[in-house]
Amino acid sequence: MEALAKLQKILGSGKIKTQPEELFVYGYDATAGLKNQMPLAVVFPESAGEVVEIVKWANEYKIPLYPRGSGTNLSGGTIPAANGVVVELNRLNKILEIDLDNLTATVEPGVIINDLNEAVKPYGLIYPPDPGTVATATMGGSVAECSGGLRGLKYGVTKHYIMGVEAVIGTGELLKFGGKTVKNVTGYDLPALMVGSEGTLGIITKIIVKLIPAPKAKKSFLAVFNSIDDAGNAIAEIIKNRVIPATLEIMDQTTIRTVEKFKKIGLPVNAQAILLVETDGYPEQVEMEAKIIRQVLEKNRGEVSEAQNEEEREKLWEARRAALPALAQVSPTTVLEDATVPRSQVPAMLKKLKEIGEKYNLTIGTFGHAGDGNLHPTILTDETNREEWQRVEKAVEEIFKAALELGGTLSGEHGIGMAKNRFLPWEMGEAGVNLLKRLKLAFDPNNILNPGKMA
Amino acid sequence: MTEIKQEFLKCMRCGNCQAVCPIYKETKMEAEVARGKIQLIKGVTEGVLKPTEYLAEKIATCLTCLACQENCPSGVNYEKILLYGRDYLAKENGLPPVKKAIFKVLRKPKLFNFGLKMASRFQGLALKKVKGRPGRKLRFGLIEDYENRLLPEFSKETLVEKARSKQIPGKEKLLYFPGCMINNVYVNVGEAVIEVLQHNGAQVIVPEKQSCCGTPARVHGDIESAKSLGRYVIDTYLAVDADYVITSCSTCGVTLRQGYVELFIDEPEYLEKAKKLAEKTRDINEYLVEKGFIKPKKLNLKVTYHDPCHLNRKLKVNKQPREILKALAGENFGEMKKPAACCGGAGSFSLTHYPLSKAIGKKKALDIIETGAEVVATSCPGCMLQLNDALAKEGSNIKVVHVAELLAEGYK
Repeated sequence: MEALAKLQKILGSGKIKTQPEELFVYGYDATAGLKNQMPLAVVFPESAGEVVEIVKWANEYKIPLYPRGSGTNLSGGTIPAANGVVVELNRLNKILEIDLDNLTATVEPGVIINDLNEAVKPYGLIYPPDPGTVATATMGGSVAECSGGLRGLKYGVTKHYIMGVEAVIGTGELLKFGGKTVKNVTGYDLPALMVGSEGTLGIITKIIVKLIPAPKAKKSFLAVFNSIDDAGNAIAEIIKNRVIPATLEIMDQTTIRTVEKFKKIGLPVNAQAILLVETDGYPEQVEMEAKIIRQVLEKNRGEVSEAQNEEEREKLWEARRAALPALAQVSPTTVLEDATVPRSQVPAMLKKLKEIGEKYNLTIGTFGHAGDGNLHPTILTDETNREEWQRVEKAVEEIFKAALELGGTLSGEHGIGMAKNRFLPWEMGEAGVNLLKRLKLAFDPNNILNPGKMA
Repeated sequence: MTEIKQEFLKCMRCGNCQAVCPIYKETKMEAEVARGKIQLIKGVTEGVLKPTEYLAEKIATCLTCLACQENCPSGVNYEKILLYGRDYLAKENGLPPVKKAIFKVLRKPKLFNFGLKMASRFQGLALKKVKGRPGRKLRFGLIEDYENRLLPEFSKETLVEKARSKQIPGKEKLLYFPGCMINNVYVNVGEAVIEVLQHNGAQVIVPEKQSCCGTPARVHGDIESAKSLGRYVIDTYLAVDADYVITSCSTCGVTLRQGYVELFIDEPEYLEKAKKLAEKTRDINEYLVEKGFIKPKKLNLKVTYHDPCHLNRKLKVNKQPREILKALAGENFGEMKKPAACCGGAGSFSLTHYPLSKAIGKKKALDIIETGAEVVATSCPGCMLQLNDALAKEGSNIKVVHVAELLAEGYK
């Protein structure tokens, strides 16, 4: 193929793979139930200049490009089409600068989130966004997907930490948006637009992030509830008392039972819900908040255990960390959703999820970030069982509808990609979706970048 | 097949294996991490991909350190899938000619031992001595960069030969399985194992009939050679009525304890025997701690410990060697950053994939050097070989020893 020969010439050997065995493994990501596609080629650019060359080449031959980091997203955001080329950015993986005066870091897109945190740790700093994939996901991927995580309630998500982005947009132009200044109202807020753009507007080649001082102290609680309502009221009341915990996680009965079955850590299998609460900050503040948290949990009939040291803290968190792994071991396929509601609606959403599970005769374990309303209903199924899979699809639709009815959103942190794009009009309306399409064309007139995703 | 299908389905493709795979950390290629390899094996066995040489090479690019399996949230038995894939490809494509030739010799213990004897006599032809280093280097390059690898010296006398004059009676009767490397190369490790066990009051016998445990053949898909060697070892080590069979090589230990039981699953006669042998087998560290080893005198040495992958992840022996080292070094024992990270040796992987093996070894060497230790102890001759090379490359003088060697020192 003439086009590929030219691409090979542009990049030189070692930066392009076309063997079927190599292509095969770039046809999927971490999303369940989507059809794998083998791309035409996978390219491994090693500089922003090479990314520019690749995008120009793609425009010349009208071949779509599919940017990719570690392929750990849960919305099919990196799955290519058969006529496209995957742009793997994990060779652009340098931490370019840690600026201690401005408390920023400048990184290339292939840097792993954890590696950035390890690098800033000696300076007493953190980069707070902590999706479940911190040890594998790339910065570029998490910016493109606007990853959330456990600390969203207090610290926010990826979009709250991105100050500047350098990207190659669909025309092949290398542009810089934002920078190191806290304030910047020059033009539209383009760094914000790039965050969560799912690779449809530009290929990110550099990122400037905000760093913050690491909290000095932490305190963790685990509370067991015999009713979902009590747990829900406890969540609302903690916040009403002007305490914003760093994390406020919930696990439902199905999740509790599954974790106990696989881990045997002594969880109460008859409990309806478990809350895990952690507060952090200066020691005095942590003490004060811990007192309030305990009072509220107990007032709502929660049975409270408090971690006295790091070892006990690890033990409390073991249950939460085991949630997805344990659920994943029950059945061959694990459909992990992230429909999100305002936090006041968490108890209503939990009830709705239970109903949906019963209606479609499916096992749904729910856990997640109760404090920010971002729940993870997890359907345990088998994608090879066609009849059941149809029920799963219907249940998922109903979960989305329920979240929207409660004033929530289709996706809190996993993204739209190709797994949820058909539901987009439900939340945004036709006009909203059309605006997304026009925006996309302004950045990418030939529809080169990650077509078929988002709108 | 249905069993392996279940295993395929368990992988939810989350990619958590990327975080711990030593090879992926170097190459960052999806086809070289567990998630990718599982999909490739699934693809080829389902007929979506062809069983090409290229694919076989991808499946060969694995240390089988099993860090991915330990880190897998879905509990995928990656090792089972990998071996299934290698077996399948070996059947479809045949083994590469070099490996086929090696396993053919390996399969015949007498011929193999004769070959090793010859190697010890004529190693000077191909290998030159290295000044101030415990080993040799190739005089000419056959494999990329391999002429720069520090290789161990073949011993003039094998352990079996040396052990003949070391017989003393004892209260417990132990049969020692040294394995190829300790019988022929790191003979001093074998001598230390015997001394340490004797010091603890045991009678130690090293059977004359020695052979490879079969795992090198097994992991490359040559099951027939592996079985043939397995029967030989099982028969030899069950012929004497001993209290325990002792191993001091991580991989040999796993083979005797778990490998044969899996290998002979369809052969009732040998399955029974394999189970019997498995019950009796103990790693040297495990045996000593289980029996309450005699406390050694303190050595004034800064020591760190490298966990051999299979001993740690498959036999879960990781506390025992530390207990022994702490008895020897006390406060002077210190951990390195990632003691359980693979050293990159992985048996013949270091021969077939030297540049990659070397890059992984470098990380390990730097972690060891950072501790400020004078000695790095481990429990596997394969790791020792790799660590010696990796540390030499960094210009370090840190000594590499087996735990048994240090303990023998503490008993002097």
